[in-house]
Formats: sequence, structure tokens, C-alpha cells
Amino acid sequence: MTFAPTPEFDLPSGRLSIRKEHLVAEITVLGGRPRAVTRRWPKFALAMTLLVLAGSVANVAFGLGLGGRLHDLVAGKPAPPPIEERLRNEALAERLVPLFAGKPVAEVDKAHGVMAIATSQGPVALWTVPTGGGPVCYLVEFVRLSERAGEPRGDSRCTGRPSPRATFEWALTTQGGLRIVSGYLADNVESLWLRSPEGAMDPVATAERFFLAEVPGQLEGYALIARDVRGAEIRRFEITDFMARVQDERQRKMTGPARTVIETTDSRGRPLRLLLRPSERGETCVIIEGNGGSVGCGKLSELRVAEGVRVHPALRGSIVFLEGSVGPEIATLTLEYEDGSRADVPIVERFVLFSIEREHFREGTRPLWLIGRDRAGREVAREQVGHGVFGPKSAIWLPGDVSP
Amino acid sequence: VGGETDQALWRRAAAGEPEAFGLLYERHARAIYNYLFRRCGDWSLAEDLTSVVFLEAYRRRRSVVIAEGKVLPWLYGVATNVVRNQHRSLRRYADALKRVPPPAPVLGIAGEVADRLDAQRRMRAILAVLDRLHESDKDVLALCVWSQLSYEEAAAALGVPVGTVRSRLSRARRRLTELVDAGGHELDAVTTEEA
Repeated sequence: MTFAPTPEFDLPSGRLSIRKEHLVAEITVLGGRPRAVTRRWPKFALAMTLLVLAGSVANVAFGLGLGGRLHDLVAGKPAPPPIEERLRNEALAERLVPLFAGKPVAEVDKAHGVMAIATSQGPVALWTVPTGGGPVCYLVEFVRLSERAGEPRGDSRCTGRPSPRATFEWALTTQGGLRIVSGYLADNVESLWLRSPEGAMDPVATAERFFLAEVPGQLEGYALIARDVRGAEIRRFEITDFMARVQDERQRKMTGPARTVIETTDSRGRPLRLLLRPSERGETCVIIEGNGGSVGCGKLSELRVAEGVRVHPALRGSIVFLEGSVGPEIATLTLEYEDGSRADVPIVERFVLFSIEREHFREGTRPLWLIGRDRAGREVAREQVGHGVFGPKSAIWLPGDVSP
Repeated sequence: VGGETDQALWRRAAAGEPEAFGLLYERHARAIYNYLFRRCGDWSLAEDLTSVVFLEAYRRRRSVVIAEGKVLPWLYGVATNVVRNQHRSLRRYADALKRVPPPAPVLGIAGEVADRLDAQRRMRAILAVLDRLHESDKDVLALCVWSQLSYEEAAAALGVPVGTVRSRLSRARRRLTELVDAGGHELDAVTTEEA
């Protein structure tokens, strides 16, 4: 037997044009197909089912409101201690950011539920903690997952208060196939709507100026639309994932899929990745994903340092990590902390992405030296790690050393 | 088929010009058709699946990845998924496929019909052996060896790193060599170092 490919054939006589005409006719219909009118009913039925489930779990009275909101599942209820803890940590960590440094810490005793919505994967709740004039901090909780894990599961974040011009802050949280948009509205927003690719407008659940919604199906084509008190559209955001936003914001065409070069976890156990993605003009984009994202594009030779160590600490939210590159002569990289302890810093394709654990945020334990060695083990480079990201001493938060 | 680039045609198609999509079909249908035949060993099924690939491609038109101006690698990726999940794919587009006009009676090309039947017989025998490979290795083999995609294009088609393509191909070749050693098959098209 030979494994050589069989000779190639055209589609049988006449079939190419028949199939082409058929295809054109089909996609002409597809392109203009209106949204199915029955589509809302399964969602409604599902929401009702979830309401019953959620009600039995939470043992509360409930009702269905705007955007599939479960009115009384968590609204106004004091946050359970584990959620309180998550919110407090998030708010305190935010004080690392110069904008919020010195602001009052979270009023933990006022942490409470804002709302919950029914989703295709069980209820999703939003909890918040007041921070005085500080950031807006909240937790989006996947209730079903929390129940299974016995601890809160979801994403917590803090953000600045949006100005009327900015209209609203939003974030996308994904869990399995579930996509949740959440955020905070400026004072001039009266209502928020989720527009589907087919043009259907669904009201988004809002409470205490927060909002929460599930994006069904794929993200492409969905948009959040803010309206003022007169019903006029004042802002629209296309909902895209971070990778797509990278593409849009840089106005740079990506010419191939992203490739994960380094995959690790940050000090909160969340994914932290360095990816490379080919872009136009033979350039490459280095993408750092983790608690948000950043991107830098250029020739690969420019993205990596020609020799020595060019690795810097970066702060993202409450996460600190080292990122950068090393020259080809560097075979190993060692991080030496102020307390004398050491860690091996992995190098992959001459790139570096390394999370700093919280125990090393404290003065006296912080990263101090990065030491590069060649293949023979000789020290060939030594760089001091800057401490700018850690801010003034008073702004540093560590678990257990701040009493709000 | 025309001088317009894939990218320009795709942009027009995505903006609601079905004719532009028709031109892309005309340009790439043969390659996809033959690829699908080599994956399923049935000309008639390959013709239907080719339509499904383009319908599916249109459905996913906003997520298309055009590598170096060429849409073909991405279409191969769609085709790979379609052939893997052919029952589901055919079910999804069953109504559309029912609307394809039936084939007209074929006259005067008996030689080609015989060649096609011969190819079909041969391909089925090959697929029976290849069935012993891992599905992902088979994808790489079909793309790199039979459809002659470069490693980079195969990586783009499958959404995996280039290194993965290399290792899968190497594993497929190794496994085939073992099968040949056990069964006495020739390996003339899959033992070449570079696709």
C-alpha cells in the first residue's frame, strides 16, 4: 500500500457553479435573517427554573426583574465573612495604586450584596464594599461554583469611579462557557442595554449604579449601550475579549493565532501568561495577560534585549510580577530577595514572566537582585530590582498587617 | 479567479456581499474538496462537506484568521473541524443541503469516473490504516503532507504552535513506520522530512 495522496479532482462537471450559486443563495438568506421571535422563551423558562433553584438554596423570597435579575437573593444582605474578606483584600490592595494611596480603607462591616441574576449556569451575584472616596470595589460571584467549592468563586476588582464622560466602567468575566459583563455606571446613565448581533435590545440589571449581565453565545456583535434620562444613547461599547481589544486598540492586524510562551499564576492563583502573536509587517506582539492585559509589538529582535538582563517589576491591580527578556548569553536567572532567599526565574525563548509572592511585598523581603549566569554557571549580568511599584511604606498591604 | 486578494474578498463578503463569498468559494473549493475527500474517502460526502465548510466559514466570518493574506489555511482549519464532527455539521446544515439541486446525469467522462472510483477505493484503504493514528496527528499529516501546507500554515489552520505541528508530524511518521514494519506498507509520501 502507498500512502501517497490520491490525485486531485475538480468538483464533478457543473457542480462547482451549482454549489456556488447555492452557497450564495444560502448566505444571502443567512445575512438577512431576523432574530427568531421564540428565542427569549427558553431563556425565560431557564431563568424561572434557576429562580426556583436559587430560591431553594438561598431560602429567600424572590422575583424576576430587569435583565433576569433575582431581586432578593443577595440585595442588601450583609456579605458572608469569606466574601467580606475578598472585598477587603481587594480594596486594601488597591491602595498600592498612587491614585488611591491614603484613601480610607474598606468599610468592611458595610460589605453587602447588590444583586444577582439568573444565568445559563446558575445564579451570579454581585457584592460590594463601600470605600469612602476610594475605588469602587466589587466581587462577581458564581454562586453554584461557590457552593461546590465551599468558598467564594468569582472575580473581584476595584476600579475608579467613571466620570460622566467615561459613562461606565466595565469588565468581562468568563467562567467555563459563561460570559458575564459587570461594572459601574456614572451618574448621567439612566439605563443600560445589551444589544445582540441581531439588533435585539435587552435591559441590563442595575442596582446601586452597578450592572450585571450574561452575554449569551459568542461575544462578537454584542454591545453595551448606555442611555440618559431622555432615552438618548450616550455611550456604546462593543464587547470584545482582551485579545480582540489588543487588535482594535493597536490598529494592527494580527496575522496568526497567539501562542502561549509562559504560563504561570499570579500571587492570587489566577492565570498569568505571556503570549506571542504574529502581526502585520512581520512583527510580533508580546501580550501579557493577567488581571487585565498589556501588549507591545515590534520586530522580535527588538522585543528581546540583545544582551544582559532587562527585566522590570510591574504592578497590575494588586499583583506584582517581573517581566522582560534576557540576552542569548544568559542561561539561567536567579532572583535574590532582600532577606537573602532566592528563586530560580524561568527563561523561555529569552522571555521572562515571574510572579512575586505577597510575602515578598514587605520591606526587607522584597526582590533585590536579578543575577544572570551563562551555561558554565558564571555570573554574567546583575540587575537591581526597582521598588517603585511597591509605593510608600504606608500603602503596602499584606494579609494580617492592616486592621481596617 | 479574479485578481482581488482573499483579504479584500473576505472583507466584502463579511460586509454583506455574498457574491464576494462566491468568488472565494470558486477560488478555494477544489483544495477543500480534495482535502475533505482524503479525510473521508467519499467523493459525494466530500462535496456536501465542502458546502458545509463554506457555510460554516461564513457563519464564523468575523473570527476569520487571514495569515499572510491567505484565507486557505483558516479554511483548512474549519474543514478539519467539520470532518471531525461531520455528523453534527451535516445535521446543522441539513436543511441547506436539501436545497442543493441534484446532480445532472454524467455523460462521456467514463475515464474520470473510473479514476475517481479508484481513488476512493485507495483512499479508504489508506484511511483504514491511518485510523490507528491519533486524530490530531492525522490532521497534521493530512494538512502538511497531502495538502502541502507549511508548518506555519498548518499551525494557523489548527490553532496550535508550530512546534506542536512538528512534533505531531514526527509522531505520526514514527507511528506509521511502526505500522509499516508490522504490515509491509509503503511510506513514500509521509517519510519525507519536509512537507
